[in-house]
Amino acid sequence: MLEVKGLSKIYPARRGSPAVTALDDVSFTIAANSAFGVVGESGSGKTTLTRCLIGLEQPSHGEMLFEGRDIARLKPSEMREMRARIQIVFQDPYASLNPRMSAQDIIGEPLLIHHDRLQLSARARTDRVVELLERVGLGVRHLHRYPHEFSGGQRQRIGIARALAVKPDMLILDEPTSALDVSVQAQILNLLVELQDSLKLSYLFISHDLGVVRYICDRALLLLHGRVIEEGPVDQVFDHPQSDYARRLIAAIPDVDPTQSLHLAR
Amino acid sequence: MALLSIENLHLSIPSFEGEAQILNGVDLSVERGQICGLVGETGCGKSLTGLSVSKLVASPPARYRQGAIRFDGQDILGLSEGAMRALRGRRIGMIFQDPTTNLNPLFRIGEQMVDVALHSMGANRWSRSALSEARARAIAMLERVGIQDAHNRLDDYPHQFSGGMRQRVLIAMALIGRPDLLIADEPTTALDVSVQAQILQLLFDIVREDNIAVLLITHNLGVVARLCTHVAVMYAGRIIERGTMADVFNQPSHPYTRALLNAVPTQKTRKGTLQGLGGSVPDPYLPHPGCRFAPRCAIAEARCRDAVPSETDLGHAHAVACIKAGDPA
Amino acid sequence: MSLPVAAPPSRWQNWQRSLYRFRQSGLSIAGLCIVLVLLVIAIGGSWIVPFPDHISGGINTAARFKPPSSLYWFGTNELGQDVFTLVMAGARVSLIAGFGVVMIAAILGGLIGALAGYAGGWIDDVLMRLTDLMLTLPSLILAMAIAAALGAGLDNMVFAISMSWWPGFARLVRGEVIAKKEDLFVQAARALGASDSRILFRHVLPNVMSPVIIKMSLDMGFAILAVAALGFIGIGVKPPTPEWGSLLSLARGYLPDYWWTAIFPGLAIFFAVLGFNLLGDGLRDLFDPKARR
Repeated sequence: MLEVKGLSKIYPARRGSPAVTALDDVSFTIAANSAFGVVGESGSGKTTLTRCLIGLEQPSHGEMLFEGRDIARLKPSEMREMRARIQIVFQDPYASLNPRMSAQDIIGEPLLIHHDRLQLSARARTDRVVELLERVGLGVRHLHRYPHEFSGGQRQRIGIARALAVKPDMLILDEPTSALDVSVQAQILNLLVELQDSLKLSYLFISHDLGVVRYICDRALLLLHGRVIEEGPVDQVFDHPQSDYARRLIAAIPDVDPTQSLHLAR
Repeated sequence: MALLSIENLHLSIPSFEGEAQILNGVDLSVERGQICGLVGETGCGKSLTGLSVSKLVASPPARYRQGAIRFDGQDILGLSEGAMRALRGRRIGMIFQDPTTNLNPLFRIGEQMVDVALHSMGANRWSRSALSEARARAIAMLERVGIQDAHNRLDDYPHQFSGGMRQRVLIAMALIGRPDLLIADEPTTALDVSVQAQILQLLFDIVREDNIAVLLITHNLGVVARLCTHVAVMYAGRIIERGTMADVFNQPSHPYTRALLNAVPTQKTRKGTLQGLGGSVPDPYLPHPGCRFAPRCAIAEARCRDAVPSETDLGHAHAVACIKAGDPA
Repeated sequence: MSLPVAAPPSRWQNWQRSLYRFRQSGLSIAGLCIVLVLLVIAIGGSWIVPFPDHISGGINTAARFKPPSSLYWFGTNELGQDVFTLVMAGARVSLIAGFGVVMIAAILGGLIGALAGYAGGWIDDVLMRLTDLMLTLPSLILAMAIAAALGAGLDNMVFAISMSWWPGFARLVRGEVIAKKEDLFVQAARALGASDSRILFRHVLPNVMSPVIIKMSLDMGFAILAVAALGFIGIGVKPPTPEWGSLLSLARGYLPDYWWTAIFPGLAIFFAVLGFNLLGDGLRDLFDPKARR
C-alpha cells in the first residue's frame, strides 16, 4: 500500500544553526489492511515523517510510493486527491478541532473541501456526518455541539470521524491517545481496531508508548535521530531487539508491573 | 504520627452551576521514606489535593467545608499565609508538570535557584555571606540532580537546557530548601521515556538518601509501579483504594482500580480485548447518594446506590471503599 | 458503543454562564449600563428631550444663560438653548461617529492585518511598513489634515479619523493571525486539502474575533473623544448639529461664569469614554480563554 524508500529530509543550514538531518535514509513498507508503528522520542524525526507523508513538507531525497505513485511528485490536483486517500488523526484532540465550529461542521468539512469529486448534496452530507458520528460511538444528538462541550475522548472520536469522512484507505495516527486517560485510551484503541477491521484500513501509528504500539500494530520501526534502528514484526522488535538503544528504550518504559519497581531492584 | 495526613478533606468551589464538590472526604497519609502515588482520571481531584497541601488553592472562592491537613502535627488549613510561605520551599517542595513554563525565561538558572535558596535560609540578597552560601547550595544541588559542570551552568538561561535538564533544575529548586515533603504533580508527563526513566531514578535515589516523603500525582500507572512504595486511587474526590503499591497492583480490590489496571495494554493483551471503562467521571454539581462509581461499575448492585461505602481494612494498611470488598468474588 | 454522559449545557446555558461571569465584575455591568443608556438616548433622544426644536437650531433669546433649574435641567446657553436637550441630541452624533470610525478601522485594518499575517513574506513587509508609516504620524494631526482637506461634516470626519485609526487593528489582527495559523486545527484543515481562503475565513479569522471585539469596544470611547476633539477645534460637525466637542468649544468662552454650558457636555464625554472602557474590560474577561471552564 505504502512504500517508503530511502527517505531523507535535510533542513539546510541557516544563520547561526547548522544543517539538520531530520530523516536519514528511512525505508519501510506498509501492507494493505495492516497497522505499522513508528516509535521514537522527541527529535527522532517522527513528526517530519508525517509532515512529508501528508505533503506539508517536501523530502530532500527518496520516494514515498502510495500504490506505486510518488506522493512528493504529484501535481497539485493529484495531491488533493491523495489527501482524501491518506488522512491524519492528530495527537491533541483539544487543539486539533476548531473551537468555533460544531461537530457537524468539523466532520462535514472534508466533504465540502472534496465536493468537486464527491458531489454530495447538503442533505447527503448531513446523513454522512450522522453515519460517521455513529460509526465512532457518538450520535445524532452530538451534531450541533461545539468542541468545548466534549470530553477528551469524545473529541478524539470526532477527530477520527473527520479523518474517515472521505473514505480514506490509510490513516496516519499521530499519538492519538497520548493526551487521554488510560480508561479512555483503551476505548479509543478498541475503536481503532474495530474500524481497521470493518473498513479495511491501513494505519501508520506514531507513538512513544510501546505498549500501545504493540497492542495495535503488526509491524513497527524504531527511529533515533532520523535513522531506522529496528524494523520488523512487533514481537521481534520488542522481545528480541537487536540494538542497544532499543533495549535501553524498552527497559525505560514503565510497565504496569509491580515486579519492575525500583524498590525491588536492589 | 505520619508526616502528612489528610483527614476527611472536603473542598468545594462555587461557580455558575452551583457548588462544585471537588473533594468529598479525602483520607490519606504519607510517612517519611514513602513515595505515595496518587492516581485517577482527569478531573478526579488529585491535583487539587496536592495544591491543598501547600495551600495554593485560592480560598475563597474555594471552601474547605470539613476535614484537616496535618503536616508534622501542624494544621495546614489553619495556618496564616505568612506561616505557610515559610513552610513552602523550606519544608514542602513542589514540582509541576511542565518544565518549560515553570522557569522564568528572563532570569539565569543560578539567579532563580539562589532566590529559592535564600528564601529557604530566611536570608536576603544584602548579606554577602548568605549569598555565597546560597550559591554554593545551588551548585551542590544541581550536581546532585545530575547536571554536569553545575558551576558554569548557573549562568545559563532556561532555554539553554533541554526538557529533561529543566525538569532536573526544577527538582533541584524544589529540594534546595531540604524539604521533608515533596509534592510532584505529573513530573515526567512532558518528558520522553528515557528521560522519564532517569528522572524517576533520581527521585528514587533522593528519597532513599534523604528519607523524605513524596506525594506523586500522576495518571501513569507504569510510573507508579516503577517508583512508588504506596498508592492511593482517587475517584470523584475520594480515595477509593489505598495500600502498598504491590498490594494494590497485585490484588486490586476496588472495581475501579481493576478497570484502570485492565485498561493499560501489556505484552499479553490480545488485539481487540482491551478493557475500556465506559461512561465518564460524575458531575461534581449533582449530589450522588451512594457510591459515586456505581453508574460505571460492572458489579454494582442496588445497595451500592444507597450509602457511601466506608473504608474496609484488608490488612497491611490496604483499605478499600467498596461495600462488596468483603464479599466472595 | 455510545457513552452515557451528563447532558452538556445548551447554548442558552452557555450564554447564561457568560453573563454570570460578566456579572461577577460590577464595573463591567456599570459599563454596560452606561453604554445601554447612551444607546437609548442616541436612538430616542430627539423624542424625549424637553425642547426638540433646539436640536435643529431653534433659539430662545429670552432665556439666555439660565442656570440649571427644574425647567432647564442643565441650564441654557448663549442662544437660550436648553443644554440638556443639546447634550442628549449630541449622543447620537458621537455614537454614530465613534461606531463608524471603529467599524471602518476594524474592517480595513483587520483585512490588511489578516492578509499580511497569513501571506507573510514580501506582502507582509509591504503592508506592515505602510502600517508603521501611518503609526508614525500623530493620529489627531493626520485626522485634522484629512478633515481640513475634505471640509467639515460628519462623514468626512469619520473617514478622516478612521484613516488614522486602522493601523492599530492591522497590527493586532496580524499578530493574532500569525499565532493562530500555526494552531493544530489549522494544520488539520490544511492536511484535508482546504484552500487558503477557506483556512483564513473559516478557521483563522473567526478565532481572532474576540480581541478585535474587545479592542472595538475599548476604542469606541477614544473614538468619541477624537470626534469631540475635532469638534472642539472646529473642524468636525457643522453647527447647528449638536456635538459634544463643539458644544464644549462654544462654551469655552463663557467659563467660569456660565459653567453649566461646558460642564455637562464634558461630563457626557467622560461617561461615554468610561462606559466603553469598562465594557471593553468586561468583554476581555469574558473572552479570556483562561477564565473559561
